[in-house]
Amino acid sequence: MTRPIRRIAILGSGLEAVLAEFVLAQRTGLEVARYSESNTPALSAAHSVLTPQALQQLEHAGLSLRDLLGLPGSLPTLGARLSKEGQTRCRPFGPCGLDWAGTGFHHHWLRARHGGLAVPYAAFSPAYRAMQENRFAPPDRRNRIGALQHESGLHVHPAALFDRLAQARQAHPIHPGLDVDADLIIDAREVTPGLERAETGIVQPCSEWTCEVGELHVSIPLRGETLEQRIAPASPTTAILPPWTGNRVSIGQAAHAGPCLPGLAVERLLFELDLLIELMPDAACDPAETLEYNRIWIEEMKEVDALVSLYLDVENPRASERLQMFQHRGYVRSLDTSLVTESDWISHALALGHIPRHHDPLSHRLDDSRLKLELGQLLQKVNTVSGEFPPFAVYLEAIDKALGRAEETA
Amino acid sequence: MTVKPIRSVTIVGGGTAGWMTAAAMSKIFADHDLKIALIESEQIGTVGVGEATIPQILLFNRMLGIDENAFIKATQATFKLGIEFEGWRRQGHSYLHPFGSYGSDMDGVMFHHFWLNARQRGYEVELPEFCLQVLAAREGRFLRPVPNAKNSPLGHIAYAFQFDAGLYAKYLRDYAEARGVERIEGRVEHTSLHPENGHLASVSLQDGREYSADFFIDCSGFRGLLIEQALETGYEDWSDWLPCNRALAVPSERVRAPDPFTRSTARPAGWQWHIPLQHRTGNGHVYCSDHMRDDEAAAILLDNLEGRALRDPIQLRFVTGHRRKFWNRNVLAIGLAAGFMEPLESTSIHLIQSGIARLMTLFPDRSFNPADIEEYNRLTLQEYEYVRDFLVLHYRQTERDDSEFWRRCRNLPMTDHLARKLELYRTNGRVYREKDELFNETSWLAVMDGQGVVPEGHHPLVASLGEMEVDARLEQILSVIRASADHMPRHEEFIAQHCAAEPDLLSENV
Ligand SMILES: Cc1cc2nc3c(=O)[nH]c(=O)nc-3n(C[C@H](O)[C@H](O)[C@H](O)COP(=O)(O)OP(=O)(O)OC[C@H]3O[C@@H](n4cnc5c(N)ncnc54)[C@H](O)[C@@H]3O)c2cc1C
Repeated sequence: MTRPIRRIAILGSGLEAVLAEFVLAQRTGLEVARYSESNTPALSAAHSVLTPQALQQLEHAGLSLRDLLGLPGSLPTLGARLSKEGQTRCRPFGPCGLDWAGTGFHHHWLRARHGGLAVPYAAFSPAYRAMQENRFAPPDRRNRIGALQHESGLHVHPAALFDRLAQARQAHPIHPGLDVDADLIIDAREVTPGLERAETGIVQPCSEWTCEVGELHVSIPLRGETLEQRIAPASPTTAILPPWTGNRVSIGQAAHAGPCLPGLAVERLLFELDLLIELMPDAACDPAETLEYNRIWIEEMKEVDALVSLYLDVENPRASERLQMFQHRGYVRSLDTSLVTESDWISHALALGHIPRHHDPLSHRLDDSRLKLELGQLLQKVNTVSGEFPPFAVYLEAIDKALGRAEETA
Repeated sequence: MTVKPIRSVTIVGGGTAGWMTAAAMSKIFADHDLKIALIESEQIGTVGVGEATIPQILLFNRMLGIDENAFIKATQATFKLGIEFEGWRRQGHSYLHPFGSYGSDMDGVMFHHFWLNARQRGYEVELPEFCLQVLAAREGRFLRPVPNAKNSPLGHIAYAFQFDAGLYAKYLRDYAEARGVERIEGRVEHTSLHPENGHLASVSLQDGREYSADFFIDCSGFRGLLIEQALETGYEDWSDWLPCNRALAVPSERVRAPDPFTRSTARPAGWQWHIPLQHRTGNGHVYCSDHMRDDEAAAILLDNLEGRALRDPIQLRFVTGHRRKFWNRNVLAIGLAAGFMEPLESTSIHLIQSGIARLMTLFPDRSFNPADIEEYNRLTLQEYEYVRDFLVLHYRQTERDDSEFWRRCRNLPMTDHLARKLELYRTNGRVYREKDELFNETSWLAVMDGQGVVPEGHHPLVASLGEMEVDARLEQILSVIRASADHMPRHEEFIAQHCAAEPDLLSENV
């Protein structure tokens, strides 16, 4: 029997490295040391969107929503507004509509749409109207409609998050000839483009995504400034290669430098750390665990790449297959991945304007008049709930008060 | 866009598969313009076996809206907490594969890693002692999960049923007929195909009646009347992995209170099942004809019954495997017509159920989109492969070398999937479940531990807790599980109180 891992070294000076250091130290109780090649953190707007799932995982690691809300610049968000070819659609976090009679809501919506319904899919989430009218409320029991509960994320300033995580943690400098003493070495060195800022835009609870030819342009509003990100296709040399060999594993950008959607960058890193903890080997780094890590990771990255390719007009056979099936009958095959799920494909595809030609015939278990009635009633409830969300500015004032920082305003 | 909905479905076969499909469709398509007919032949009959289930059956019953106690009474059912494997690892050894978890996970690490840590330091208590279902099964106890007891093992008791297959089909038939399914008695003699697209156009009975439909479901059993005899789909033979190819089945008198579990006892060229019901016990001997003659197999079966045999054994011959396509053109095969794997883990009825669920998701219209059909076939094959690998694990990981059959089993081929699972467990006790895999982490753990696979290490994070802390937590869990088991009534008392079958039914069926 070999001995367990006692010391982990993390290489990197960016947010991904400090996030890894924080999560691993909190969740494993092992000795975690970070080695940094630079004193100025490498920061990227890619890390400024925290999805509801990422918030949950950070909470699990001991970083509460309250903590994050208190960081300078933090701004709650309900999702994204997407513009493509002159059309604007919303993609709120969380579910839209309710599954009736055992059939996914989007099938019922498709059926109604083919019958002339003009209301967009996203309008069946309270977040939709809130995004349009600049209102906000965090999800809680009072704004739940049966099983339908909207979700919220957070825009954070990467520098503020970096400072919070790096607090009281000293990185060791990397110098030539340094011999890192650790059982496991995690490479989290990012190739970051730096932060691009725009003129302060309107303070709103969503990011703005604009699909341009072969590129996605994203504006992420914070309190006091807006960050900009341009997401372009990867260079043809960006292959998906196994990130773990021997006692060395790369994570985040160091593992795969391909383009990533806002929100997915942090989610991906947290997923990698979760998998690493789950499959933590002993000090000998047995190949059984590393092979399993690589197998799962490669599958996840291929799915991420496929989803991203929808936005960048690049050839991706996996994406074409998913899209073809979806466009035919609104079905997405069940996936083994957890970063990109079936419902992610559905919401992204619909937000990009890919409307399936057919719906699931089982939707007809609700007859036409019943479907119309159910949709009408649901829409009414959704609108009533979102109409009760306070204006965003009022919500932010309330947050400031609760956090005891009345001087900051929206 | 024009959807051309399916207007008529004809199911051929009235065994468990046929009536489960008819019942589910009659419920799901209620208030819908779909004509459902089922053709069956009393003259041919059903296989009449298939009496042990797994917990997923509860979901099927719930979907149908069945009252559980009424269902148990009508099918002479008992409760099932797992499967006991006697003599599988070696003669004289036995273990239970329970429908429940071991201990409780701590700090995001699966419980058994804590146990492994202690074990590697000489701790003597075996893993099964940490599972409520194991204790309850051993002591003949049963209780349904206690509502609002989320923090107690009593709040999470997973269970299934053992029932009379004939009564189950009858129960579902009454259900489906009450919801408008038309039952047609007769023997299908001919089938005819559309000349343009090769789809099945109609089936004709011995007496000349002819039935056409938009969509056919083949539930005709091993013969695969539509999928094979009409459409010549082809069969994938899996005998290299699972060589047993015959079974003898016989009911016997009940001589004692029914166990709340199914038993599988290893025999020189296969294994014997024991399924206790309220009114009788189901028994069978699954064996490989390369290594045992039929008369020897029958003698072993009859010599090892607890009570008197109630009739002569019936013999069933099978080839483990599956149709090359489960869904071909406008014919979908469900049940034995789709494929078969021996009932070692009671999976066949579940495969019927999941086939129905998948069909509902991918229900076609009259254009029969090839992508939907391909997807159904892909998902079904994947499910079959995962089940196969789990079954192979039982045979391959044996220490037995006392017969030619068991020596052959030790060298059965392994798929990459199984090899990976074994390697991960052997090194640090990792158990992983693929997303759509039927058997969960507990199942894999139970069988790997039961068959004697011993990990070299465990999750490293357990070590950081400290030995005293680990030991204290184990002792505490042990005492909670012990106390929970003591709280459970005896299985027969629970049945008597809630769901005993009527006495007249009892005598009628013995
Ligand atoms: C030995 C053995 C043990 C098993 N144990 C278990 C178990 O413990 N748990 C479990 O889940 N599963 C078990 N199974 C599997 C289970 O029995 C079957 O999955 C289940 O009974 C479904 O069978 P079926 O309906 O597909 O076929 P059958 O029961 O064979 O039904 C076929 C139907 O088709 C009809 N038919 C056939 N030809 C014609 C024709 N020409 N015209 C009209 N009708 C026709 C027949 O009359 C019958 O109604 C076991 C199987 C075997 C062989």
